[in-house]
Amino acid sequence: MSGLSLRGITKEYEGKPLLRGITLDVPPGEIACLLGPSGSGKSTLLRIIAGLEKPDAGQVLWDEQDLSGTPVHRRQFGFVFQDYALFPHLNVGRNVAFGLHASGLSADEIHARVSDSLKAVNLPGYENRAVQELSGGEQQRVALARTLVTHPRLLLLDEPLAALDRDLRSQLQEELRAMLHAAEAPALYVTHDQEEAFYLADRLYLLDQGAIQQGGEPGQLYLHPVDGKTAGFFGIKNQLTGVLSNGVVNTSLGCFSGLDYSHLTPNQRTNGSKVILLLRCAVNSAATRKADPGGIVRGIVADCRFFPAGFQVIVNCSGEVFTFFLPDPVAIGSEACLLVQPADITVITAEG
Amino acid sequence: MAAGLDRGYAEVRSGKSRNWRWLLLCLPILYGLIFYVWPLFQVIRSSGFEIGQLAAATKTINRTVSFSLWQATLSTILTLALGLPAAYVLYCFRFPTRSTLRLLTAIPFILPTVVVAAAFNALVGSGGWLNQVWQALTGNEKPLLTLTGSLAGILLAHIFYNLTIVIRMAGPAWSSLNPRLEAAAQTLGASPWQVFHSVTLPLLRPVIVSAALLVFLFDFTSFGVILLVGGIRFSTLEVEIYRQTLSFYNLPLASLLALIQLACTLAFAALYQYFSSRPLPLVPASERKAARKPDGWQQLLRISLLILFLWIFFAGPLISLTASAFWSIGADRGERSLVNAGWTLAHFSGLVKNRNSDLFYVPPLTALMNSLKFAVLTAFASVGLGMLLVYGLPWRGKLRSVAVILLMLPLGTSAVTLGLGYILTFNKPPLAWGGGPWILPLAHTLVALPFVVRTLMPAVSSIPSFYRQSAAVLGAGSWRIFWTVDLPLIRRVLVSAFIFAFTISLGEFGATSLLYRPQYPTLPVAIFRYLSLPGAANYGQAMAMSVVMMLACAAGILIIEKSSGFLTGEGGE
Repeated sequence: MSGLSLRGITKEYEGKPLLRGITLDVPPGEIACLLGPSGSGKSTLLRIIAGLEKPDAGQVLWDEQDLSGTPVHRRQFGFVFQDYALFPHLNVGRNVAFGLHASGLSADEIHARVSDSLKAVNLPGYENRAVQELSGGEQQRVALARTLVTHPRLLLLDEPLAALDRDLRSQLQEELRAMLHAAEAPALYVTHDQEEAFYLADRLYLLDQGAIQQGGEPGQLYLHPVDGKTAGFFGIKNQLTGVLSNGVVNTSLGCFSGLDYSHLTPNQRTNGSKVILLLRCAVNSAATRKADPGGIVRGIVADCRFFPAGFQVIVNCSGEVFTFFLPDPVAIGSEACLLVQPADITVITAEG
Repeated sequence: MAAGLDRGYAEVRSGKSRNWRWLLLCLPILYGLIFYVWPLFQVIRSSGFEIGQLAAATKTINRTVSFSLWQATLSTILTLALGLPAAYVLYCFRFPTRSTLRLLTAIPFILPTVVVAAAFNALVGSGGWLNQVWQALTGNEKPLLTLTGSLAGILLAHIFYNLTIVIRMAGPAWSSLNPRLEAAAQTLGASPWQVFHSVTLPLLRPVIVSAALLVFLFDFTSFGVILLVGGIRFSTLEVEIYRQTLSFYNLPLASLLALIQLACTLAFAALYQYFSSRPLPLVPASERKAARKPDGWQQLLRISLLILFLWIFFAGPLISLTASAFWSIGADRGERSLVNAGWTLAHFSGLVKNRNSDLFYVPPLTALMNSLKFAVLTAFASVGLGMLLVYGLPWRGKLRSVAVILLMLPLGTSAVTLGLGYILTFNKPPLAWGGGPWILPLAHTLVALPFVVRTLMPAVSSIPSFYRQSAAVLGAGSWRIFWTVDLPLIRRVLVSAFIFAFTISLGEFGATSLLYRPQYPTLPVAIFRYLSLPGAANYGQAMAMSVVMMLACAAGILIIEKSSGFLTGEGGE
């Protein structure tokens, strides 16, 4: 297939396996996000793709061509670093022009390209600034311009926004998405921030413990995480373990029936299979509950804290702890009800 | 943070402290005036010329200035050419014997010039090992090549001496360059050569220029190497000052040369100060790229060859020296005690007994005892003065920065110039010296003081102020704080400074060669005398003394290295 393909990339670091047979694809025009906790080896994978490091085993392919004999500077892959890596001895204009000198363009053409590309990242006329006097956000824009101006056939971005503060990050996220789509080159974007990944990705890969745990379209991943840990990484914190028997899941809070098992394999839905229920249900405080539509789990409000997004309410239901956000505060110690509908529950397997 | 610490201590020391601070500074200031400022002033005063004499002097001046510049330029270029690859390999790659090799490359810098000269003599002199082995193998009477007495010998000795400066300055900077800058250049399409040329080199330029200037400064003022390896045909400013003073007693010309040299060294020192203060885009230590392994067999081969060459280049002269000290070349006419070529301890036993009744005979043991005596006195004097300076100077502010620069001035003043100044100053009232030996430790102290202060000052100012503050809150006065807090904390650095001063005095040759009297020769002077005398036994004695000296210095260096990581820039406190 065309675009970038990784086949069984393996890498050890100080005698310990860091990447264990990574296989993934980034087809043309897509933004793929590689989501993983810190230390999962995602930056190393990116460096291997760029050719900055060699894999112990496996292949990096571009349009079916093995790149192992192609040195970094011939791969035409753009790389954006977390710390920007702007050349401190060159001004902004010369930084952006760095990759164009080998292109055989005339000085005027280079000048025009640099100027256009600085406009594209909203830094018009910054050519003569010293990189040291730029803010973090401005430096990352320059780094982007420096990479995009060379029209790389693939963009590799290594947590480019991680060093910025939150407001700037969300602003730049939007700009980045527009720029990446405008660049038309496929991109592989590495991040540990799941919101950022969901926002940017056309295709999402979850990297943990040296292996791709799950990959696919972001919405599908969110709806059907492969396991509880993955679900937790996606921000689905309310989980309940149980055992399947005769189409009913027995949990410490009672039986759940009428659930959708269609995406479990036959093996995973035999009697006695361990499953995890992902609860995306709502919660009501007992005081405001009018009717009882059935499927209610009662609990006690263990904590209630103010957050800008709402009140974080922690409900303890006979030892199982769930977290919800409510628009209004509830009293600690009061009763709360989880309104559980089968449609709000995703069943995933808990078998290894 | 430093400002915060400074303020903390300033507060503890506020109040009466300003007065006793000046009290502390009294002695160093007095010493500086009498033993540095006044002698230099005398040099300047005596450099006046009458027009008639000037014509004859101009030729000498032109010749020595141009040779000084020429050989220093050549030496510096060659030192950089070998030093930069060596720095890269020693700091950016991981290989067996790396830390040993780093230490080995640093040893020549601390060795006295006479020892280095003797070592080169032992390897590539006319009777050196290279020629002996060649003659033994081929049966050829003609020596293969003799580098002593040639420009090539001078250049080699200078590289041997100063390579560590380039390695020590460029290496750490190289290994701590942000590795992502080079990676970024690569991904932007720059080939390895382009990366080096347009990223690595510009980033390292300030540190390379600083190292080059420092190397140039040392080569420009080179004395012992030119005198002992170069021989009579070569004369730098420093050597010419010595010759004009001792051989021709032309003090005005010597003074004028000293003045020219002083102007040049100060200019280079100012340039060095300017370049060495430029920052580099370094990364924090935790983020540095781990030392690499060679990539591919070609790189492995190139690196292995360089490492092998460095081992031979640095170990060769030192091993030759040691071997020569235990080797008897064979019979020289009239020297019946040494007949057969072979291994012998005679050179060492000769150190303690007078072989012949030579009028100019310098008993080596006496020379050794003198050297040790002077070195101990120097170490005490310079550490004492250094401590007074470090504690007497204000903790921050303009006065401190000015004082720090002033303190480094003696570094830019050559030892021979200093010796000349002492001759001009102390040979007449009111400061008539009368030829006593005390002049030597006093001169050595001035040479050692900048190094001592540079060692002590960072240690003292890095003591966290809360130690002193809590001691003060607990009721300790300034004096008790010094004894119970500062002194235990800087004990190891004090030892380093002491040994530093000790080894500097032990090897000091420039000032000593002008100031010593036959009644109290030092070891370097004795080695110089023996090397210049003909005869196998004299040669052997020079080698034996050099080995003693090398061992003394090596022992000192090891102690410093163990306590502070001074040479390799690793570990320590």
